[in-house]
Amino acid sequence: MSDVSLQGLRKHFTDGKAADTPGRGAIDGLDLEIHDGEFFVLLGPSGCGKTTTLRCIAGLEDPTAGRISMGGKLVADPARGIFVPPDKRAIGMVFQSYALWPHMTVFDNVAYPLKHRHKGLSRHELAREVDEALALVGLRGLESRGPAELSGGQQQRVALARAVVARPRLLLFDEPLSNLDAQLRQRLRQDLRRVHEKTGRTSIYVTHDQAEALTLADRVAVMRAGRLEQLGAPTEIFLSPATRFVAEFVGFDNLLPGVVAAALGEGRFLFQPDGWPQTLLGRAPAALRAGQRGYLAARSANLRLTRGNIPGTTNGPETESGTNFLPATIGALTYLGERFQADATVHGQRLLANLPLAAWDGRGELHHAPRWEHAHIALAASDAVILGDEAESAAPACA
Amino acid sequence: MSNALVANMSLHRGAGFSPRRFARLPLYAALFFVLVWPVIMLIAGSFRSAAPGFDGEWTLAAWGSTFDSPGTGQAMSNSLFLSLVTTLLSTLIAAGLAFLSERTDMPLRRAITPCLMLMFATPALFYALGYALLGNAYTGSANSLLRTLFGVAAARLDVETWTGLITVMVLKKASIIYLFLIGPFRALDSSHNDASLVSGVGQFGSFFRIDLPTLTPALTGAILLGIVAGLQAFDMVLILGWPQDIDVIATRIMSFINGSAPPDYARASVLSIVLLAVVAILCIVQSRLLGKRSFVTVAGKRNSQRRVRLGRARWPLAAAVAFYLLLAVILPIGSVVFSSFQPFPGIYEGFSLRHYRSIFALPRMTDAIRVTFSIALIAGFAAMLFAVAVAQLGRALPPRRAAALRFVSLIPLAMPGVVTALAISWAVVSMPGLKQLYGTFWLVTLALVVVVVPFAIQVANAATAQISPELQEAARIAGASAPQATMDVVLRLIAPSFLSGWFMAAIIVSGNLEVPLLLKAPGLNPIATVVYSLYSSGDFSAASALLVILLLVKAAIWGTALAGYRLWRAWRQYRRQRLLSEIAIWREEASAPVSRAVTATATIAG
Repeated sequence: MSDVSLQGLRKHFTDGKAADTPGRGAIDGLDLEIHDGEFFVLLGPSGCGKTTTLRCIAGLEDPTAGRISMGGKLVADPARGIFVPPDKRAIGMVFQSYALWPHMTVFDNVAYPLKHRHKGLSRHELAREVDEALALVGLRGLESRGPAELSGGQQQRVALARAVVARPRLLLFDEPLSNLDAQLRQRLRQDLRRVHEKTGRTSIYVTHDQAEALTLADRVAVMRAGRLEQLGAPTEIFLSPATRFVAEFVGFDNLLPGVVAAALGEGRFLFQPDGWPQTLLGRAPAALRAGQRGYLAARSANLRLTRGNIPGTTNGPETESGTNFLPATIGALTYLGERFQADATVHGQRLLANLPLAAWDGRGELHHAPRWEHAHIALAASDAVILGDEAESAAPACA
Repeated sequence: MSNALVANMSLHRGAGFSPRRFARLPLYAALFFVLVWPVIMLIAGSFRSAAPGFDGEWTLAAWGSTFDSPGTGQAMSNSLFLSLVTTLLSTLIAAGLAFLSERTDMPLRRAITPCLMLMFATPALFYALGYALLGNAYTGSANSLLRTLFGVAAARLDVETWTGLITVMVLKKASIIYLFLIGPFRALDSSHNDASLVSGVGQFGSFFRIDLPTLTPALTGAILLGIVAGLQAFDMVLILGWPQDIDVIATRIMSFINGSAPPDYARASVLSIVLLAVVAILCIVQSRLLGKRSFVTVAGKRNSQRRVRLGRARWPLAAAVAFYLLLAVILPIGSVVFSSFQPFPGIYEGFSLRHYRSIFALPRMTDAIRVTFSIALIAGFAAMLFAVAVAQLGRALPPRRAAALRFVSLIPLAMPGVVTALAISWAVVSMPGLKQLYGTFWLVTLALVVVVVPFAIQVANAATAQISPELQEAARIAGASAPQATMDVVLRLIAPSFLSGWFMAAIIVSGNLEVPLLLKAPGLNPIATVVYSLYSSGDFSAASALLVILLLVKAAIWGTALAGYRLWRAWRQYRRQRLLSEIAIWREEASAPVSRAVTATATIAG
C-alpha cells in the first residue's frame, strides 16, 4: 500500500516576514488523499506551494503543522514531534535539475539508491538491477559515462532510472521536464506514463504545464496560494473549471462578468453579461441560483467567427440548437498557423475568437483583417462555462 | 551584538525539539566559543587588573592610562599614516597591473599573476627579511653592488627607514590588492565597452568612462581592505621599523605584553579593542559596499573579450613591469636564497651549505620545522573542516540567519593576529577545564585556526556554492543518512577545493609570527619565531637558510598533493575501465538464463 494522505498540511516560511503570514511557496492548510497506484498531478502557477507540498511529502521540508501519512504510516506530525527523514521513507524522486552526481558514472548514480536501500546485494545483483532500470528508460550501454557527457534528455532518463531502481513505494517528480525542449518533452511524457504503468507505483508529479497534467494524470489538483483550488480528473479540470482562477489557468481566455438570469435545469443556465442586450446559454459545473453574480468563461478556440448576419432570429440564444449567436465586428487578426485568432468586438466588449483559415485566406496579407460588413460568432452552450463569483459563492468546489 | 545574534540563533533552533536541529548545537557552540567568546573576554579583560588566569579585580584603570602612556598616541598616528599612504600607492600599482594583465596585449602580461601570487604566498616575514638583507645600510647586497659599481662614495640605500618601510609594505600589499582586483577586471563585460566604442569613444576613453565606473565598488572595496590590512601591520614594522623605533598599534600591543614587566594585559586589551572597533567599522562599510557589487561581475564571454592595443607603448610598459617584478619578487626572494649561502651578509666569498648543515645539526631548528608543519597542517585542516561545516550550515539556514552567521564568521578578519592571540588567551583561561591549554601547542593551534578561519570560510563558501542542494537531497531520497549524504556528495565534490584551501591555510599559518610570539608556549618555537630571534640577534644567514627550507618543504607538500591527485584520477580512470569490462562480461552471462538473477529480483521486490 502506498497511498499518501495529507491532513491540514501547513508550511510557513517565516524568514523576513511576520511569522503568521504565509510567504511565497507556503502551504496553508492542505488536505489531499492520493490513492495507491495513482498518477497524481499537482498543478499551479509558480509560488503556489506545489513544490513545497512535494518536498514535505519527500521529507525534505518539515511541515509547520498538519499530518502526512504514507501507506497508513504517519511520517510527519509536528504536533507529536514525529518526523521520518527522507532516507527512511522508501521514495524515489526526480528533481527539476536532475541532480545527477557529477563525480559518479551513470552506473554509480543508478546503483547508489540500491546500495543504501537494499544493503547486502552482491555486485552481480546490483549490476542486474541497474541494468534493468537503465533498460526501462532506454539507456543501456551508457553505464560508464559521466553525467556531463550526456544530453539533457539522457540525464533526465538517468534521473528516472535512479528514482525507480530501488523500487520505492512512491515516486515524486518535481517539474522534471521543464528544462527540456518541446519535442523531447513530449516524448519523455509518454515514457513517464509508460514507466508508471509498468512499475504500478504511486506517482506524484508537480508541474505548471497544463499539457503535462493532461497527458500524465489520473487526477489533478490545482493549487493556488498554498490552498487546493480544484481536484478532479483531467477532463473535469479542463472542461469544467470550478473557479475563475482555474478557468484562466487552464486557458479560458474569454471571461464575461454578469448575472445568472435563469436556471433551466440539467446544469443549464441563462447568463446576462453586464451591459449586453442579449442573454447567453451556458452550463455550470456547480449549482447556481438566478440573480447570482458570476462569469461566463469560454475558450477563444470555441468562438467561431463567420461572415454574414446571424441566421434566423436576430436576438437571443437558440435554445433549440444549444448555440449562442453574437453579432461581431473584427479588429486585428493574429495568425496562429492552423487558424487565425481574431480580436472581435461584441456589444462594445472585446472578445477573442477563432477564424478558420478556410473562412479567410488572407491572400498574402495574413495580418490584415477582412473588412466584412456583417459577421457573427457562434458559441455552443456546452463550451460556455458559467462560474459563480467566488466572493458570493461558498467554498470552492472540491471533490 | 554579534554574541546576542548567536545566542538567539541557537536558542531559536533549539526551541522546537527536532533531532535535526539538535544536531547543529555542537557547531553553534564551536562557533560561539571560537569566534564570539574571545571578543567578549577581550573586552572583559580590559577591565581586569591582572593577567589572564590570575586573581585581580575589576577596574577602569587601564582605560584611562592606556591613552596617556608614552608612545601610544604616536603609535596610533603611525598606524593611520602607514595604512593610508601604503594603501593609496599600492592600489594605484595594483589597478595598473590588473589593467595591463587582464585588458591589454602587453607582452609580459601572463607573468604578472603568477609572480604576484608567489608574492602573496610568501610570508611577510620572508619578504621583510629579503629586503633587510638587500637594503641594510652596511651589509645589504644592493649597497655592496652599488659600492662595487660606483665606489665607496656611492649613495647608500637604507631600507630600515620610513621610506624603506613604506616601499616594502606597498610592494607586498599591491600583491594582495591585485589578486582582489583581477576578478572584477576579468569579469568586465566587453560588450559594454564595445557599445562605447561603437558610440564613437576611443579605447582609452571607453576605459575611463565605462570600465572604471563599473569597477568603482571593487576599487573602494580594495582600498578599504588595504586600510584594514595596513592598520593591522605587524611583522614588517617589527623587522624593518625597529632601528628607527617605528611603533604601530600592533607592535605597541605586543610591547605592552612582551616588553613590560609584569606584562600589562589590561592596557594591551584596551588598545586591541580600539583597533578592533575601527577595523570592524571599516569591515562593515566594506561589506556594505561589496554587498552592492553584483553589477560588477557581469557575466561576459571571457574569450570574446577584446584587449586594448597598446601599440608603441607595449615594450616600454613591459620593461617597466619587468623592472617592477624584479624589484618586488625576484630580488627579495633571491636575496634570501643568496644570503643563506653566504657566511655573513656583506661577505662575498666562502659560499657554503654550512647554515643548512648547522640547522639540521641543531635540535632546536629541527624542532622548529617539525612544530611548524604539525601546527600548519593541523590548524589548516581544522580551519577548513570548520569552514565547510559553517558553509553547509549557512546553506541550510534561511537568509537572515545565514547573514548573521556570515557576519560572525568574519569577526577574525577584523582582528590582527596580536589581538586574536590576546583574545584567545583571555577566552581559554576563562573556561574552567581549559586553563591547562594555556602555554601549549594546542592553544597556539587554536589561535591560528581562528586567524585563518575567515580565509577558509571564503574558500569553503566558494566551493560549496557550486554544489546544488538538490544533489544532496537526491542522496537523502536515495536512502543515505544526512552525514552519509554530506560525505558522498558534498565532501567528494569539494575535495579539490578543500585540499588547496587546506594547503593555502597552512601557508598562511606557517608564516604567522605574532601568534606564537605572543602566546609564548615554552619550548614551542615554530620557524617564524626562530627566524625572528635569529634575525634580531644578527644571524641573518641562518635565518635565511631556515626560510629557504620552509619554502622548499612547502613546495614539496604541494608537489606531493599534486601527485596524489593525479594518482587518484588515474585510479578512477582504471575503475571506469574495469566497470566497462565487467558489464560486458556480465551481459554475456545474462544472455543465458541465470536462476540467481531471478532470486535477486525477488529479494528486492519483497
